[in-house]
Amino acid sequence: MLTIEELEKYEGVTPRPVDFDEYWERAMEEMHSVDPKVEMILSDFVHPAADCFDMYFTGVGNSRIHAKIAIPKQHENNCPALLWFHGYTGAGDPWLNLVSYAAAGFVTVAMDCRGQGGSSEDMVAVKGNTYHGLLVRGVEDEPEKLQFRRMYLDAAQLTELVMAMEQVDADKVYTQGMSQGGGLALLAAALVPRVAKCVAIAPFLSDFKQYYLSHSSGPGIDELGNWFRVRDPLHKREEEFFTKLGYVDIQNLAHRIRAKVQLYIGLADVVCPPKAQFAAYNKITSEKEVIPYEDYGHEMMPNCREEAFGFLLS
Amino acid sequence: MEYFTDELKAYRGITPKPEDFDEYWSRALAELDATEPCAELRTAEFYHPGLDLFDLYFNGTCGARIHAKLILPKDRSKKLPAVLPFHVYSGSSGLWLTNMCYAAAGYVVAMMDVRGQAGESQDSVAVSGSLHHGHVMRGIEGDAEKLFYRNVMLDAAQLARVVMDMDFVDETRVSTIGGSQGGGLAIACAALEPRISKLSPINPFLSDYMTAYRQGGGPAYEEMLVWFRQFDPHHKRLDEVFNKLGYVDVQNLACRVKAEVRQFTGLRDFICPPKAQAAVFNKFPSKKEIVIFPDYGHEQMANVTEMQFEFIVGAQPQKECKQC
Repeated sequence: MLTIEELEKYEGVTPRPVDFDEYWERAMEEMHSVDPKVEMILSDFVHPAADCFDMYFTGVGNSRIHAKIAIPKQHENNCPALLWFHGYTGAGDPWLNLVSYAAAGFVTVAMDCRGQGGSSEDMVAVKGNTYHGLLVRGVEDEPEKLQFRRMYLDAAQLTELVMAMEQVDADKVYTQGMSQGGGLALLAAALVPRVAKCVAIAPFLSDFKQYYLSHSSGPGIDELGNWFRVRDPLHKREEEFFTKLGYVDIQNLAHRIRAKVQLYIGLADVVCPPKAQFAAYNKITSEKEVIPYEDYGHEMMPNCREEAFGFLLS
Repeated sequence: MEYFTDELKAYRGITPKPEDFDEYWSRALAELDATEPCAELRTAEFYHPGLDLFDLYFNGTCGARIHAKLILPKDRSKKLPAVLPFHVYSGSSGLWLTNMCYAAAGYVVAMMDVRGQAGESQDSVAVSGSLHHGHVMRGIEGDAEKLFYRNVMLDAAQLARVVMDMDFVDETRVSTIGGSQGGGLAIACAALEPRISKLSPINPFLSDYMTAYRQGGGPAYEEMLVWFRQFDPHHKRLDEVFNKLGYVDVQNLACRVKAEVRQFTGLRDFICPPKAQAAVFNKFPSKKEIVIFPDYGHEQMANVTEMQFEFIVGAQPQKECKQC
């Protein structure tokens, strides 16, 4: 196990494509050119402290994206807002989790990541393997076809949509999440630098090659080994493969973050290797803090959401 | 001991056949008729001194370019029989050497990559719903036309048409074979292109999804389980879901098969349960035989490949003795 001091020196091993900045400039342009056609439908779930809506908007690739949104009943606009992103293959958190934040005054939003376990769709056909995995979906097509690019743009688009809501104070928009959700929390804060606070718990989406080198195991990571086994068993295209994934590697965007960041990390994490998490964390130039848990792996560490809650309220 | 028991013999499956099943496939075949294959042959990188090897590309439905490996005997002066081996779930057409035994016996061999799996064929269809894992439930949220296997089954039929159209192929002697997903696709191909003359599925998948869900294990069962857990934990849509899967259930296509059938089934198959396999076998209207391996499961069963070869190639070896 590496110490924090050692981890703080780690720079990441996944290549950064040369046209990385242009790639994301074009991506944000594409995102801004989409008419989101926002719909808010009152949810079946009712709660005395919050108005609960199913929110739908159109993301890139003409796909309809769903998010749950809980708006405090008692508010005078200027609410802080929290976007809470979910783990890989899952769906937006249950209403009761959202409502506990809404009851504290946060407009609370949970997006379903497209093509995963919720009801957001990803209407883009891609070349290559479609049987298993979203991280490798599109990796044999143009870099613009990477599935994670679209998911990232959804996170940024939703963040901007929430910032523009009349009930929300645009300077108090926060992001939070665990694993894929932690990665998306950092990502949203990078693509929308007005995000003021960011809580990343065991974040995924950084330094993908390190996952492969660490022989880490988990739903996102098996995809890398599977891809090589069936598409490139002798690793002739390894450099090209990881360079392409570099377009959606959040460590390459982390320097754009202006938010105050908290990183909660289990140092025994064998799913999202601590090195990979630090590759992104080390590139953050804004105010930041790491809260390490020596004896925890890829899991919800005790009290970390409660600690983060205090950070968001402060 | 009769291992193909009365219970198995009587089993007709429990996955529904949608009311407009025949119209569904009529429309699908009309779409295939309108899809010009634009077949292209490229000399393969792999070399064999006794055979000609090509990568074959053709158009499937919905704009997909489909790839298959094509092995041709050198002597094509007379019309040749052909065999179409289909591959297992999530895999690819695999190795050139795998089915060369057929080419060495004078067969044209064409091995298709299933779109979107480990080979080169493209999965051209965007669908709503979950995309992370698996192809069985892919497209379940949209129109039944969007079901993943509809297009794969049409690709298999298109491959048969492309091969039958080759000058040197005797279209009355084209067979389909395969294990698991490959067995299911061999059946679908013979159903959608009834000129297929012999069909030999081994432990076929894609049959009677509801039985597979209730009794099976393995990847397909897991996908269905994950789907229900995520999207329908109270099974409110159970009937709708299995009715929709019924469109791409080979037991519902089996009545169209004209080929002579020899099916191989392992009684200890817990992935594609024997009942689900019996459901399709019982519905073949053509001459048929089932060979049961009582002690084998979803695996390479003893000498099954050789028994399959004998069935496809047919003739017994001529017993001649040169010394006499």
